[in-house]
Amino acid sequence: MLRQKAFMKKTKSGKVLKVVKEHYLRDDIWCSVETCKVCEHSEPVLSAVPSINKAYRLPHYIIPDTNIFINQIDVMEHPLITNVIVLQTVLEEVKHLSLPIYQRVRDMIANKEKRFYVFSNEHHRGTFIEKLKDESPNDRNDRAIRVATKWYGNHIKDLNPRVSVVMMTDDAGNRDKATADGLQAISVKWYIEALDNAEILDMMSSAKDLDDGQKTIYDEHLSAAHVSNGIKSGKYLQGKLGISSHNYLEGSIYTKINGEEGTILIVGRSNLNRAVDGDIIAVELLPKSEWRTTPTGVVVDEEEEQAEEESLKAEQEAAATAAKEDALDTPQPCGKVVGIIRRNWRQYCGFIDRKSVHTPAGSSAPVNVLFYAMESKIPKIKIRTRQAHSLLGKRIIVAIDSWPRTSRYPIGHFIRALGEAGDKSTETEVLLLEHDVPFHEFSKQVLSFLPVEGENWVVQPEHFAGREDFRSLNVCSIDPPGCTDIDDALHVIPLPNGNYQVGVHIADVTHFVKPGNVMDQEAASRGTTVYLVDKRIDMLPSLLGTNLCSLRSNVERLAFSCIWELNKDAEIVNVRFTKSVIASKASLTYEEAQNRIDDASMQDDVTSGIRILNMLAKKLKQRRLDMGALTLASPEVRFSLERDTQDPVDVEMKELKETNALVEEFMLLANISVARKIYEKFPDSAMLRCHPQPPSANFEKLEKAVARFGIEIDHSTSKTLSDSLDNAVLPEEPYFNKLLRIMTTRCMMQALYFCSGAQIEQEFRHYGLATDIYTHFTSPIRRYSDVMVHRQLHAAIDSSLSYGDELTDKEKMNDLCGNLNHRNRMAQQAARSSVELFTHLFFKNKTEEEEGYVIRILKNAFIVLVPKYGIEGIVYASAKVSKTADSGDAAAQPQPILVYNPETDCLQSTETLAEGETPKTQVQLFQKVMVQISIDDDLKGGGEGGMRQKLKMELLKPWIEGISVHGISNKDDPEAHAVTSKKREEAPVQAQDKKRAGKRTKA
Amino acid sequence: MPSLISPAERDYILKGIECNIRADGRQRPDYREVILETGVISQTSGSSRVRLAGGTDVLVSVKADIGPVLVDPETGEGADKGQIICNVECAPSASQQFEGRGADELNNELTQMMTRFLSHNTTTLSTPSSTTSSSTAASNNNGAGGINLSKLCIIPGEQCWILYVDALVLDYGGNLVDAVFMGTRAAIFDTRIPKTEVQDLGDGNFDFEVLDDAEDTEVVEGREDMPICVTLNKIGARHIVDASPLEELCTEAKLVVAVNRSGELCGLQKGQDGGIEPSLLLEMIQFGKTLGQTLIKQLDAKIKAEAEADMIKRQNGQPVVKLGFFAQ
Repeated sequence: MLRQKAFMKKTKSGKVLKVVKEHYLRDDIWCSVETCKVCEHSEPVLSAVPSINKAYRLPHYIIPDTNIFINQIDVMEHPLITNVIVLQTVLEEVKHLSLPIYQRVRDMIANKEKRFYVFSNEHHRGTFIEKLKDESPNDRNDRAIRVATKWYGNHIKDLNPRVSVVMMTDDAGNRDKATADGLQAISVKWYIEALDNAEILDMMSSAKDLDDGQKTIYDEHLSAAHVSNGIKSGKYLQGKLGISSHNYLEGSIYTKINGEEGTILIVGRSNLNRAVDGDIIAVELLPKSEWRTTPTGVVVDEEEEQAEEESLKAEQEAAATAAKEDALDTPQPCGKVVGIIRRNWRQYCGFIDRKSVHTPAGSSAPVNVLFYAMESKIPKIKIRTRQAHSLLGKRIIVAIDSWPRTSRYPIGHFIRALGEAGDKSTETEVLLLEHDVPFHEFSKQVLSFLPVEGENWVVQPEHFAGREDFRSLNVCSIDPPGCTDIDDALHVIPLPNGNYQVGVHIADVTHFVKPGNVMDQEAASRGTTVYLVDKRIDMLPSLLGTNLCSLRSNVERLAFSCIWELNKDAEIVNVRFTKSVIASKASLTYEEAQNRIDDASMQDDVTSGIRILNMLAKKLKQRRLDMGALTLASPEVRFSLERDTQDPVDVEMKELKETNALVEEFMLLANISVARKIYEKFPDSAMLRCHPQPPSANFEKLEKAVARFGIEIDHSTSKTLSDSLDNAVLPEEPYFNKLLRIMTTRCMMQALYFCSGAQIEQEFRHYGLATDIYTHFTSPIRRYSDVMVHRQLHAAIDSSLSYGDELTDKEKMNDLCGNLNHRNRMAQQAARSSVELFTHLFFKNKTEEEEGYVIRILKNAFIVLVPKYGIEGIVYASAKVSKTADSGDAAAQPQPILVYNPETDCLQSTETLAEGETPKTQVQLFQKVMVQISIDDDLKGGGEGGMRQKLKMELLKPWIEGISVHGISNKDDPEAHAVTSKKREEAPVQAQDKKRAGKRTKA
Repeated sequence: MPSLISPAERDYILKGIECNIRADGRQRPDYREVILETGVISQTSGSSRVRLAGGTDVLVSVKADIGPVLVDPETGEGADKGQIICNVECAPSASQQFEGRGADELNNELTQMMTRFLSHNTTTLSTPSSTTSSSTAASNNNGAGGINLSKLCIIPGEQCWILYVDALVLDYGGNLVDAVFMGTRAAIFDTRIPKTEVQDLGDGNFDFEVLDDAEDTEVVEGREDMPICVTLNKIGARHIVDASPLEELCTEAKLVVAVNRSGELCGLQKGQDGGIEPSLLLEMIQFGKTLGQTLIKQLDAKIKAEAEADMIKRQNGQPVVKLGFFAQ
């Protein structure tokens, strides 16, 4: 039976098309109920005895409408909800409204346990309806759902055991119509309440219930059309909101302002206007008089936040008057959010604010509570839960539903609990989720693309086709201890002409990972292997990563080799690339390799090879440094973990050996050689890596700070920067140079993958390595970029190879680079968070006193780096208002003891100064301080258990009254106690204290 | 379409008409049977097919599209008006004479006539006998075509709907003009224009969205006031309507009378070489008007009945099947 469907379409060029489609109705779409004898389905989805609910006498199938999926997807995903008939009408509407939700519905349909059946009612003769005149599309679809429900009801009424269908909708009008038609209809709320399960009740999105509905707090957002027109005309600016990690009421977007790239600050709750980190927003610039000149403050808590907002106002006024005098300091452009172009809400890990739970313990009445996300950039979220007490102290996942104008905080709902806070596995899961690291097991489909031989796979004679046989060469690998995924190995042979043949052999991952298959797609999506302190999230299944691809010693492995002829000065005479078969003679650790070099008694082929390589590497390095490559530093630490519990028992700085540099040099050389080769073959689509030159603004503060020591930093090229760093040595402070390098690293831009067709050749430069072209070739086991580079290199050397457009399509390559950059950044952050987690575990129940350096000054705090543990912490420059003791006095605002001086970029005491006089107490960059490190448990969430643990650093030396604390070493000193208690009493009489503080520092 | 006629044949037709009996048995004021169906081409905004028993077969389609408004540079008029663009084409298959460039002249003539009667903005022609009634059409600011062009404007001064009316003559059996106009009127009747939503973007900029639902549409306002044409052929001292091809060859003078449902004269065009005495002219106009009004009434009744029948079918969930080209 043939029908027609017509709709209108406006094309890009502004024409209107009437599209008419032929629509064939069928009589062979089955109901898929197990017990149905009429239908000829082969694998019925819906079970004979479906869900039972107190609300209904009969077991029933659920037919939800579109809004149920859109608004209550988390409820639908709950294991209790099964045997659902998803109508085609509904599915199409869901797809139209929200692709992510559509994908989740699709996943549920694919999940056999959920028993979700898609009924193609639009193609079914009995259920197809045509839209009537004066009927809105929504009404038509509602009617289609009712017609389908009715059809199902009639179709299954005689089945044994007896079953029924229930239409689920939150639209009361639709329910009334359904009841009038003699159908069973129910709202989610009734249905779920009848299930009587607290967990699923909490998952119910309840945007309407939580809305206070009183006064509007926020300005209205402009309409989408208005915003897009404003952006076109240049009135508004578009950008992705990034919230400051120190202050969740301050965000910024990076965009073009009047043709110049720049950052626009958005400060304060009302200017942010309900935008959440990551949202794409439209911003209107504030008048110049309201632009900011002072640096970021730190917002810790609500009370301080209030103060912050007030001080901000005062500041802006002051700034307005001071603007003329202060012509030197360029104010930062500020803006306010006028509209949200795209929300980027996701699910957030976090915990419930203990203070917001007011019901007695054990109560299961629904309460509104506040949720803190782990990520401090996310505002508190209001949720409604019946399990408030059982969730306290747990990590939970929450999704935002909406943020109405009348609500101070966004409104969300509970999704699931992860586990006890502070528990290592829970916290690890949290940090993986927070960094969007896919850590699920590899699916069966992915694993099906592994070689069928599994562990027993060996190099077969047919593998030698197109490969060189390097099995006889003395190849060895050098890696960190415990490394199981060995990507690279080296060999060297002295040539008769006095030159050397050097080979870098890289695991031939692309032999196993063929483009486009599921395993390849999975790897491309994961992008990189993520290394955490206690575990590794692999990019490739471990059979490949740690076995078949890993270049282990004394087994034959497939490799992709890069062979140079180098002369005595390590200059390249020629280079070639080939696929090969190797058999590594030794897999060494850095230490073992170093020992071999140092041990004169070792004279075997491998060892002498390493010595030659070492000699060449040194020359390569020297030449690289001469070219201006930077030697930067980061405070990296290693944890010694207890074998069974995996708890950290010791922390040490990572140590670098000469052999680290050896491997590194040849890898750099290989990467550069490969980059040139693939760029030659694929000028438009080569996967390369660049490192842009940092803008001068990044160096401003650092330059100012080191000027104090008579040191100048010239960052105009990497060469000059490198030289300035080499010369910046303070004899009295040996750590200064390292510190400077650490801080210089933070001024750098991120290195990025890019597609060669997307940038001009001048921008290919890798600033840090001082090379004009670079790529990643040497770690295909743990980086997907290298896999792509391998494929491109293979295509470049083998002209007979046929390849798909994945290597040549500029757009695809660009998208891939985008994903890889994102995954890389996330992997780095996850690794850092993991280190942070273990640092917290390490310091649990410990208090240490350590030497540290001030590395950043904020408006009301400064950040201290402790080199020994490679950790950083904030020290607040305001007097601590003890919340527990002075709760009656909570209005007392933290009194600033040190204030920020923008001229010198340091914090100083508040006494008035005569001309030329230096303040008595000041904190400035690079200053050496003593701090006490402990773990602050109850910073947020108002309770024990350490919901968001934070390293607490307290100043010991220099002594600044009101800020500094007495170390544990003199805790027993009665005098010290007296001073602390006195301080509390005398809080209002700060001036006196300060004088005394000043004296003390001098003494 | 024969191009020549023998003197004997001419004499036969002439005498017959004189005696009020025509070659196919009709009397002088008799119309042939008209077969009309609307909605025959689903891809268009509106369509119709008109056939006159004995041959003439015209397919008319209306396509609503969006374009810039056409402003008269001198008067500045038209900024708030939509447009109707007409085109008539005779298929080569309709007649031997239409082959090659044979139909060009006819195409032009018909196209111009349609453009003039439908979209040209002159007020209703008044004749001595209808001076009083003619003012109604003029006062509602509609063109002679009756269609309210202002309603077709989307954003004044910028964008408007353009109705492309294309008539395709599939077969020729005489009285083409009447058939084309009947078809056009029916097609416009059938036309549904998508609804638009104008958005104010601020700063005097506007944009609009086209609602994608094919059912949520508007009819062309003023479609009831569209005229049809009655062609009167003067043969001897008499005049006939709905001439057959042979009768057309005997015609000395031809008068096309365009008239709307209220009997207002919307256009007048004389063709052929012969002259018409004033008294006969008035009589012919009067006759054309009366006949046209009756025709409109019958056509409207037919179209309305068809639309209602379709609606009932759809409400009952039955498919609406058009006969289209399967019709006998």
